[in-house]
Amino acid sequence: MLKVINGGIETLVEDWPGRLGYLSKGMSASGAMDNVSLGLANILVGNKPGEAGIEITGGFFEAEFTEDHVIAVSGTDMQPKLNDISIPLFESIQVNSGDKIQFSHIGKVGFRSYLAVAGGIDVPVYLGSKSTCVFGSYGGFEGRVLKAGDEVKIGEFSVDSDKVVGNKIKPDVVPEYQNEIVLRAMPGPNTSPDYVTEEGMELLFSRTSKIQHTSNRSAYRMEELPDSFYARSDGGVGGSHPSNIVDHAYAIRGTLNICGNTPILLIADGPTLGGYICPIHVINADLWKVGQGAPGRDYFKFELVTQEEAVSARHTQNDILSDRSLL
Amino acid sequence: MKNGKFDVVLDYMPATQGRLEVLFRQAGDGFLQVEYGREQRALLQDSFRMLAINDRIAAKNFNGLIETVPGIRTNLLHFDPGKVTVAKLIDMVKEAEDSMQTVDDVVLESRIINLPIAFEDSETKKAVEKYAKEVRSDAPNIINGYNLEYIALCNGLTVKEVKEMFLSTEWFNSGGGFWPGGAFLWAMDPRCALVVPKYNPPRTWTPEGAVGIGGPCVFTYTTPTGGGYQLFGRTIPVFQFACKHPMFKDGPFLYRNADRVKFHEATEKEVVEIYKHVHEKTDYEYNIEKGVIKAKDYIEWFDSEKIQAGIKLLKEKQEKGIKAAPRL
Amino acid sequence: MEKIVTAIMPGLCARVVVSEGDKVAKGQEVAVINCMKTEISVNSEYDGIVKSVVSKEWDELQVGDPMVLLTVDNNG
Repeated sequence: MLKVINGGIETLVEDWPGRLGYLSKGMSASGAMDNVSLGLANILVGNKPGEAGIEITGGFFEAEFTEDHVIAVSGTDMQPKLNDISIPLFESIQVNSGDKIQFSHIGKVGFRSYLAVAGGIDVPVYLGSKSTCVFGSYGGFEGRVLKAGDEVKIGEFSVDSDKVVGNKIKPDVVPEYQNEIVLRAMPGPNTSPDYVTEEGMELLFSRTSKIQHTSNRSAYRMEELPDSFYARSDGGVGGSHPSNIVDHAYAIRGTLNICGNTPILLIADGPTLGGYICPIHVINADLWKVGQGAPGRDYFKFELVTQEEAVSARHTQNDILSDRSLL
Repeated sequence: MKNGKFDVVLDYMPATQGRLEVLFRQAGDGFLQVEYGREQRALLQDSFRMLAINDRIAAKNFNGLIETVPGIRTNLLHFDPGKVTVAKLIDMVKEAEDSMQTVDDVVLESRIINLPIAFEDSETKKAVEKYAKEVRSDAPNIINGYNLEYIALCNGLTVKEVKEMFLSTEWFNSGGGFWPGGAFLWAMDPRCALVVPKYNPPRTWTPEGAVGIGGPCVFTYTTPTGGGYQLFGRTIPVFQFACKHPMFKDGPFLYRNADRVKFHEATEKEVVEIYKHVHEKTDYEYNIEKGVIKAKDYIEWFDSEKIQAGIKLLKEKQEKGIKAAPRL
Repeated sequence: MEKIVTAIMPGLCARVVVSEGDKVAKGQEVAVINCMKTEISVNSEYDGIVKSVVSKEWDELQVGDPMVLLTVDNNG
C-alpha cells in the first residue's frame, strides 16, 4: 500500500490508453498526460506499459510504502528522494516497508513525473480504465486528486523482484524535455478554404505560442490569433463569431479548438462536443509532449505531418514502450 | 479534388434525391469526420438519417472502429489506424450510405422515455438563489427568483404557454456529449421549439435532475455540476455512476441516441421520492416505450400547411420576445 | 537572517496574504498562485517576520521567483 503524506499540487492515478469508447456519452478518455513516461516506468518494474501509475503534476507528492515493492520514477526531474536520499530516474529500485518517497518542485524543463509500482495501482476498473477524470470526478482513486491520509492499494506482482530491480532505460530512449515543444499535427476537420484562410493555417504552423497559465488536464490554452485567421465573418446558425459552428464532436485527445480567437488544445479530460471550429489535430504519438509542457513557462509549435507519418510515429512509440528499451 | 495545401476533404459523395452531399474530413490520425451538406444548419431531418446510418455502421462491428460520435449534422469516427486505414473506413461508410437510397428507407429506432418534471421545485430554485447571491446579483434572467419568466419573455409567451409547449412535444436526443450521460434534446414539434440564451456567466452549481434549456436544446443534468441552461424544474435521475439500479447495470447512462423524452408534470414530492427508489432501493421502474421514427412521415407532417403556419406564428412571437427581453 | 519564500509553481500571483511586519509561522500560507485554473498555496518554510512583500497581484511567476522576504531568528 501507498500511504499519502502530502498530495502535492495535483497527483492522480492514470493509465493508458484510458477510457476509450465513451465520447458519445460525454466521457473523454482521460489517461496519462505523458504516456511515454508512464509506459517506461511500468516496463522498468515489469508491468504492462499501460498499467496505472501515479501521475505527479507540479511536484510535492510524498508517500510512505507499507510493504516492500519495486518502483520506478520517470518523467521530469522533481529531485525525488527515498528517506531523504536522492533516487535515480528511469531506473527500477527496491523499496521497503516504512520507506518514504518525496518529490520536490519542477525544474527548468518538464512538468510531470510518474511513479510506477510493480503490480500496478489497484483501483477499480471503471468503464474499462483505472484513469481518473478530474473534470467529471470519476475513475481512479475516488475520482479525485490524492491527498494526505489516502491509502492507495498496489496490485499483486507475480515476477521475482530480483529480476526487475536495477533495470535501466537505454539512454537514447530516455525522453528529453524542452521549453519550446514541437508538436506534430495534421490539418482538419475545419481548415482553409472554408473556415480559415490559407495564411491563417500557415500562421498556425509557423508561430511559437506560450502555454497559458490556465492550462490543465482538460485543455491547454495558447496565445490569441488575429482576426485575419478566419475565412468567414461569422458562424452562421452556429453563432455570431467566425469560430462558431453548429455543435460537433471534438476529436479528443488532440484536437485544437479555436474559441473566439484563443486556440485551445483539447486533451485528457477535455469536452467531447461543442460549437467551435477545430483546424488541426496533434497526432497521438505526440500527446505525451503536451503533458510535459508547463503552463506559464513553455511554448508550443506545430509541425505539419501526414497521416502516414502519424501512423509511423505510433509504431515507433509502440516499439519504445517495450522491453527493447531496457538496457 | 484537393483545393489547396490544407484541404482536408479526403473524399465525398455527391448529393442525391435521398440525402445531402457527404464530405469525409480528416480530423486527426485516429479520427474521421463525416459531414452532411455544407450548410451550417440544425435540422432534425438531417439527424434522423445520420443516426439511422450510424446504426447501420454500428451493426457492422467494424474492426478498428473504436466508436462513433454523432452531432446534429456531423458524425465523428474514432478509429485505430493500426487496425484500419482511412480509405477502408471511408469505403465502409459509403457502403452504409448506399444501403439507404431514399427517404423511405430512413426508419430510426427511437424509444420514448417518460419522465416526470416538477416545475420550479425547491432544489433548482436553490441553484438560482445561489447564483444570484454568489455570481451575479443583477442577473436579468432571474425574475421573481427563477428563470421561467425569462424563458417566457424571450419567446414572447406566457409562463403557462411555455409549460404547455414544453409538455406537449417530445424531445429528441440527437446525440450525447459534453457531460457524462448528457443528451441534447430538441423539440420534435417545431411549434414548441423554444429558444433561450444561456446564463452569462454560468452557474457554479446545479442539482442532479435539473431540467434546463440553452439555445434550442433541453438538457437534463445527470450529476450536480455548473452549467448555463435556464431552468424549468427538476426530473428524476437519468444517470447513475454506481450502476446499482438494473436500468444502469450495463453502464451509468439512461439515454441512447435517437431517444425521445416526453415530460409530464408531477409534484416535487413525487419526484423527490423517486430518487430514493432509483439510488437506494433501486426498485423504480422507468417508463420507456419502444418506437420508431419514420423520416418520410415526419417530413410530410413538418412541411404541411398547418405545421408551417404554427412555426411562423411562434417565430413572430420569438422575434418580438427576444427584442423585448433584457440581454444577458 | 533573511529568508525568501519563493514561487513553487509557474503561474500568476493571485495574492499575497501577509503584509510587512506580520509574524508568520512555518507552514503558514503567505501567498497564492493561480495555475491550471486552481489556487495553489505557497507556505512559509520558516518562522519569521515579513520584511517585505516582493510579488504583487497578477505578477507572472516562475518556480523560484521570490514572493516574500522574511527576517528569521538565527536559531529559527
